[in-house]
Amino acid sequence: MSLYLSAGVSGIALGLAYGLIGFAIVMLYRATAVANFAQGTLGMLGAFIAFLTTNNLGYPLYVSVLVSLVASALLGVIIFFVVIRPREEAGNLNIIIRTLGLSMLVLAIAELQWGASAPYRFPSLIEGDGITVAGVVIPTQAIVTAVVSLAIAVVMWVVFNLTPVGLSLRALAEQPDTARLLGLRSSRLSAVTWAMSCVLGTVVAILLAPSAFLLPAMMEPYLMFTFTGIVLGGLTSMPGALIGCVIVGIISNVATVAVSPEVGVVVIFILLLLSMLLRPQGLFGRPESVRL
Amino acid sequence: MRPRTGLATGEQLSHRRPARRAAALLATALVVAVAGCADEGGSGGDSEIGVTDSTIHLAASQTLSGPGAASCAPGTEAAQLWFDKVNADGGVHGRQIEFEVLDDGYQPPRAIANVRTLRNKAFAMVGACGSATAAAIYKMLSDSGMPFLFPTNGVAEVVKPASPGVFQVLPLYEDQTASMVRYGFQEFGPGSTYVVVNPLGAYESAIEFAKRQTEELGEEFLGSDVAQLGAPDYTPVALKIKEADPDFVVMSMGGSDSAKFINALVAQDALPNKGILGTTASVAGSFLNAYETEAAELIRFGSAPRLPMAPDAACAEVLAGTQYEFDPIGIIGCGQAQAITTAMSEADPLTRENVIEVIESWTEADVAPGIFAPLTFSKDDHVGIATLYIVTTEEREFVTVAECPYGDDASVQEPCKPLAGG
Repeated sequence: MSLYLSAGVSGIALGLAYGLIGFAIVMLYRATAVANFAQGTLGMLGAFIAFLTTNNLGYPLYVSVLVSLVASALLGVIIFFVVIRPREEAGNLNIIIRTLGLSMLVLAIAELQWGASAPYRFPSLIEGDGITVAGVVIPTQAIVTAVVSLAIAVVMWVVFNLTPVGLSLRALAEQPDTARLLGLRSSRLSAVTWAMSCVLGTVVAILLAPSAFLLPAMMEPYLMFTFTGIVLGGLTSMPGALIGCVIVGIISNVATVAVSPEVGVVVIFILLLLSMLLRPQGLFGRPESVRL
Repeated sequence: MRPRTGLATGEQLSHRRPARRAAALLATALVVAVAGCADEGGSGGDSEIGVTDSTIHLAASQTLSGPGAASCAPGTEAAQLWFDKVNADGGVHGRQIEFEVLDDGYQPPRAIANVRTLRNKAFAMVGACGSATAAAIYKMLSDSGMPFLFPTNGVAEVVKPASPGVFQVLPLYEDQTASMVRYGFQEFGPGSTYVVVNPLGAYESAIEFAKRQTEELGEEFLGSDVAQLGAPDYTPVALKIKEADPDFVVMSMGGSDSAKFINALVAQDALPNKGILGTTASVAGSFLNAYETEAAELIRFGSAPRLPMAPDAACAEVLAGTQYEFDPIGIIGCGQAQAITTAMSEADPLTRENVIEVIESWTEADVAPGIFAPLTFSKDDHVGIATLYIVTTEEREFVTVAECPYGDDASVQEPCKPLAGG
């Protein structure tokens, strides 16, 4: 029994990491109705910027992280204007495929540039022995990830529900034409959203890099679990993304210790299918209604 | 109206005399045949595919993208450096080596497509990562008579029984896990084992052989796990091991995954009581860069090359100052390329058939001194290695500490010998 409890606790820590990636995806989806498949690779790029700034240029880690966050924000704005905005009328499916193409392009360039010597050891933001809960040692880095996840969840909820900017972003996603007619500056708002999304992706990658190692494909193993978590929680719900991802982390880890790591992956796909079949809007999402 | 030049139409041809018709057909056939040969990479000199009077075309299907890229790419990149050196020294039989590497992303269908592209224009396939892709393409290559020289492969069926033209230096994972159990018991004393593998080639037999060896030596096999390559978190596996409390963990995993797994064992205070025994798959720069040095004393991995390579090894000069100088995969790639150029040099005339004959004739052949122990092949045995080196880690370097006689049946092998200075 204690083994399952330990697995569950480690699953919560892992699920919060998935949840952090989920935030970035859901935030962009809520604001622009685009599911960004490049979220992981853009985060990886930000983490490489931090690593190179500290490793090659010799800046302290915290300064490097700051530099990478600013660079990520700029990158997000550039991506919006260069990749997403042109021919917006092509539709959401076209734009989603663009993000997939962007992801593959960034990954290929990163492999070319940094792949040969990967993985790299990325320093932890905070050193320490961690704490033991139910027989599982929660490393300090995982605690930091959990705290950051919860803090971002609160901030994002406040931004989207209690601020004019958040309301504007939601309006833009749900009724883009009406929002524009009402005078919302859609391009500016979307660019800001892309910047925020890239910054969030970089935060996630920097938090995961000490344990997942820094390499071009570092975020890929996380994305499958993350997408399952946000589908389970509801693609439009920030708290749902977090809770869905934590559920995924717990179920996957408990199945791993109960049966095997292979089954730990299989149950996640079953969960994804069941969720899509029985509750397409997810646990916390709203069903889509169309006025005829 | 009769055409003044060129080939006649079918109708007009039918009115010609048979001798002229036959001559025209023969000429056409010759033109087509010559054009066909030129299309297929050129033939000249020894009239062999991929060989011209001035060049030899070698090719590889390699994992250059995806999770395995970091571990695999140094193999073919270091091989290229060796071929560059050979070219600078005048080439093989006066011919320059052209080396073409196509990406398969460690996906068998892409590897098969690469072979379809290459088999009629390259002289031989230079082996690369990994088991799944090698298993997918070896039959096509063998059937077409194209030598497949030294893939990094752990699937027994590729070389057992020996497939014509398919040779490998590296030992199979299943034989390695058995050998490592024997070595671990000899070095640290017998004890219980727990096996963790990535699905690299025939991973089930790698588990089975370790289990059988443990039980034959009178110890308890506590369990096994198969984790996906690139798994995001090894904590649950570490928790299982912590509860099982084995004396040895035996693993057959990729370089980065080995490091992630060992780091999870360290983080969860789940290190085994006596040792961590790994296969050649763990011996990679990607492991050294990332593992927690706290586990160093427990680590013993099987290795095909002696590490670090001898300072007087020919590859030491070639790789000096490059990022592959201390990278085991790079060293293996260079050593295997050296063996390939040796085989081609000894084949006269240079044909695929002769290269295969040359390699099958090697007995205790020191084809990459300072890297591999002497290699022995025969018509029936296409796994060349007879000595498995045992390496441990000292901070961020691999150091060879012992050598073990290596063969199909670990139970009848002589004990391993510690190496001086190891």
